[in-house]
Amino acid sequence: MAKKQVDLLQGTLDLLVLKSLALGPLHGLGVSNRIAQITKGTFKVKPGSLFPALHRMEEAGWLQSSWGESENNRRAKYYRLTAAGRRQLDTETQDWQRISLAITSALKAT
Amino acid sequence: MPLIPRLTSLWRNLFHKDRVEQEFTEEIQAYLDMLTEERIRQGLTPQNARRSALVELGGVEQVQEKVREIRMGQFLETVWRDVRIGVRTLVHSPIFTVVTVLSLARGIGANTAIFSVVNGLLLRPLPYSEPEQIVDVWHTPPQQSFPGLNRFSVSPANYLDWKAQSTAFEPMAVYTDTGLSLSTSNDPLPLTGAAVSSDFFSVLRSSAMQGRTFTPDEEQPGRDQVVVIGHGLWQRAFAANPNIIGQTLTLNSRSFTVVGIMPAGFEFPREAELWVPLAWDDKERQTRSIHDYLVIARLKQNVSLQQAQAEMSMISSRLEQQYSADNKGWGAVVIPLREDLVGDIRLALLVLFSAVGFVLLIACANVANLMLARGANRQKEIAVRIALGAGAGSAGPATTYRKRSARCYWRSAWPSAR
Repeated sequence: MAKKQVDLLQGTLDLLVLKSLALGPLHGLGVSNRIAQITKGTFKVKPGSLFPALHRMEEAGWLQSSWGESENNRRAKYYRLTAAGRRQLDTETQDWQRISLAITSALKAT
Repeated sequence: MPLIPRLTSLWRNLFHKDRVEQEFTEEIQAYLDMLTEERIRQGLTPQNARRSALVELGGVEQVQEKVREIRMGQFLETVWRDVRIGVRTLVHSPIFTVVTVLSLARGIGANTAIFSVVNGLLLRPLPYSEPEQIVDVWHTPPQQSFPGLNRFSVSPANYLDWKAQSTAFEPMAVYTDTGLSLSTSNDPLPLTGAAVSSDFFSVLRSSAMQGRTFTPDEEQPGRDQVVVIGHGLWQRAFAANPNIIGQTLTLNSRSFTVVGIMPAGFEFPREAELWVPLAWDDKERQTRSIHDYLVIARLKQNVSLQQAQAEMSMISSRLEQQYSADNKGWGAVVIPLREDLVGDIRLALLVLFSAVGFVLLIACANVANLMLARGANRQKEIAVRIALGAGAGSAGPATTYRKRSARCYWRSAWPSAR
């Protein structure tokens, strides 16, 4: 577990949250764990950034929330993607691929 | 894009604030509990698990505050809170409030009053087509008989000569104010009217909304018992009856047939509500020495005011030689209608307008001074607010608004203070 954690780039948090919810609804801690899992521990999203992001994206209409039961029979608020959220995930994914391609080729240039 | 969810969030955040807060507290609580359980599963003792979960959360209140800041309607709430603080502060210092409100009210009130006059007289165009072409033509009287007077009304015979000999106008018309009393089933209704020549309406390029205006042969005595009524009078006295045209009214005990209704807003000369033909008999048409009438004309296209004036001066000196007994010393002057209506008060109005502008600036400077004096008292209050945990976001606005407004008062007041 000696992996170095990296600060999230501006704008990538939304993308990661959307991506983590693409497979199905999750509660806050679930989103945080899923992000850690799919980025292989590179990113660990703290509640101080996670909750503002979730609420902001819910107000933007990308997410919808509802109360449900967790694995351990605990009441928790679950978030799921809306149709608008799915579209947003597509656009942000394409944007990110363009950026990362551009940065990679810029760094390779001699 | 998703307008509906935005609006529902705004609604919820503004009107169901308690529930939103409550739900969020529960959400955070669930997060903490689940994180603690996770840590226990990883092998920590319950106390250590709880502590490490709390450390990771970084303070419930801080997270809540961050979420509040991004919520829709947060701005409204902040402004509302600042308004409440502002009102409370003002209520606590009534003398300051009264002085400030009075001095600003005085400045703003004076400006509003003068501006409405300036707007009405100088800024708003006259309600006629190409109003800059409309002029008044006056006599200038001989100075030894009427010292200091530079405008004088016109006599019938001189008007008829002017009209016949001039080429600068298209057309020229004559009118006079006249009081008319309308007989009704109750008391007679006194009205402001005008007796006008048939060209009067074409000078103003105004035609009747219904019916017609006057024909030239209605300028003859005996055929002049027709009347055109104004829109206001039509509504007020005749209940906007569209069949009024052709009916007979009794004015000054004579009967007149209604031939037309003017559109709303046409009330020339000043507040006239009905118009009758100006019919001169032969004796009146030859009168040069009785000056009772006002002349209005429209300059032809491409004729300047100077050209019209030159022509009128020429005609006047010709008439002076021809009828020296009546016309000795009588000239003519052409004045644009707007200038005639506003007259010499244009400059006075502008001076007054600037003066009240400065009154407002001085009032602002006074208020700014009061603000500065109070700033010292508020230092303690601000210190208390910051000590109680108000961040830049909440101690800030209440003070920065005020500082900003004080600064801009100073800036605007500076020229007058210098």
